[in-house]
Amino acid sequence: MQNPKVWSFHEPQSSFKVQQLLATDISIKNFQNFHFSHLISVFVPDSLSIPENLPTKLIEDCEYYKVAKLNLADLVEAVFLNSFIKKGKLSLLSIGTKIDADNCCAVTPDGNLILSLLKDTYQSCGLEGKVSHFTKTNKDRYIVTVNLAELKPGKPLHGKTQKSLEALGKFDVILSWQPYDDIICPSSVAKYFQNYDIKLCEPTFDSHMVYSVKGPTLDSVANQDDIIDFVEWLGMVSLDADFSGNMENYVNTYESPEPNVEMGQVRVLTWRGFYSSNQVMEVFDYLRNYNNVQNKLWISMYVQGFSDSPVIEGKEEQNYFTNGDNCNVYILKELQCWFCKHRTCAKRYK
Amino acid sequence: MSNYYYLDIKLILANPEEVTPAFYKKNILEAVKQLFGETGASIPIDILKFNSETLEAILRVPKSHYIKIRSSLVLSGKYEGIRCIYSIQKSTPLLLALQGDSRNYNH
Repeated sequence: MQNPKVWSFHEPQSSFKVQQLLATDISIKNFQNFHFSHLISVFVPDSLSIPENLPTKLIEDCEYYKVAKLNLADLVEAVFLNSFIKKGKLSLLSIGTKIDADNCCAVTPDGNLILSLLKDTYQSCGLEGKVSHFTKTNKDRYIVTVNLAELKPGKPLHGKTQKSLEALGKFDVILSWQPYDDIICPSSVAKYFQNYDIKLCEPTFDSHMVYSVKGPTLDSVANQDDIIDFVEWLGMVSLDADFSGNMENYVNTYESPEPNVEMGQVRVLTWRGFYSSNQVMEVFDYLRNYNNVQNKLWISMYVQGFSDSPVIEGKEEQNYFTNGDNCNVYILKELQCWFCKHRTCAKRYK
Repeated sequence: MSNYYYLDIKLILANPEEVTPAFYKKNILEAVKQLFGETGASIPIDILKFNSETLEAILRVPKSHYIKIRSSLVLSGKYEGIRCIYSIQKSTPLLLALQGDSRNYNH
């Protein structure tokens, strides 16, 4: 009898795509579909001082609101549709709900309410949806999309949707609203939900320096493997990990990728909160200009999405197997930009 | 994609005592050896970051051995004769992603 195959277990797959572009070719199109960003890190080599105005870029006017036990039926009220969905970009995301175990909801800035529902909830709520990509075999999760922008109050579909949403239960959510008209204050949305337990949330900011490290110089002809090594090095810097390892070391054999130079310091700036694609684009714009003026060896930005968001980019569905990673890395060097996308794999696990 | 997987783990001891990174790694290798034999003990594991107070560590393991190491950690119950468990806080193929997780963030 053959021995059981206990030695060939494959790791959960993931995807990491690298695209090399001209820095000037990066536009809002590269950001706008990545709806919800949670953590943003910026890496600046050989910089003793924090780039001017940069820390406040993702603090000022980046507040959002946390609403407890929101009844989703309120999102389809005629007043709400006319005042907020049609007159601005609403971003809303459920928190404290796990995409692999609970019902989750989100409203994307293009006006779509996306619900990721468990089988029982889906079958009892009466909304039309489709089975989740990740549970095609056992069909225990369903995705429902309601286009709020096209919902017409007074029509039968509106009434039916409102009744179904009412039956879904309540969600703790975070939300922000960006009006099309500058004279309207984004805090108007908080006023609308004043009957709820609502809290203003501010992003958090943290900064640290890593001193005397060997930093990769990154050739302009860097291939995918070079970029992967570079991104790993960024990870080492972001975690302030141990750079003293070498091939002879028992505990840690990590060495900085080559070619590298001795760097006096690398500054890491980290923000956490609830960011829209426009806010991320603004920071990228700032870094692009900063890089042109300061002529740094390179500058990098890392953007991480929410692990439990029903959608990642556009309508791409999110899954949580061993992790819910959905991140983008931007590396600016002179006129070039490497744009890396990391996602958990779309493989269906049984 | 990267050839590695990264694990953010924490060693919880029944009777707390001082642990050095070398002994931490030795115990992980012993756990792998116990479950998968001598060949398992030759897997190159790196401790990229170690906190001696909380006994938290960030491990880098070859992705082809990720499942074996994770299962060994889950089943490991002894550290130098003391009862212990390994809590796996996050695992990812992207080291940058260990900076934080929206699941544990308080808004």
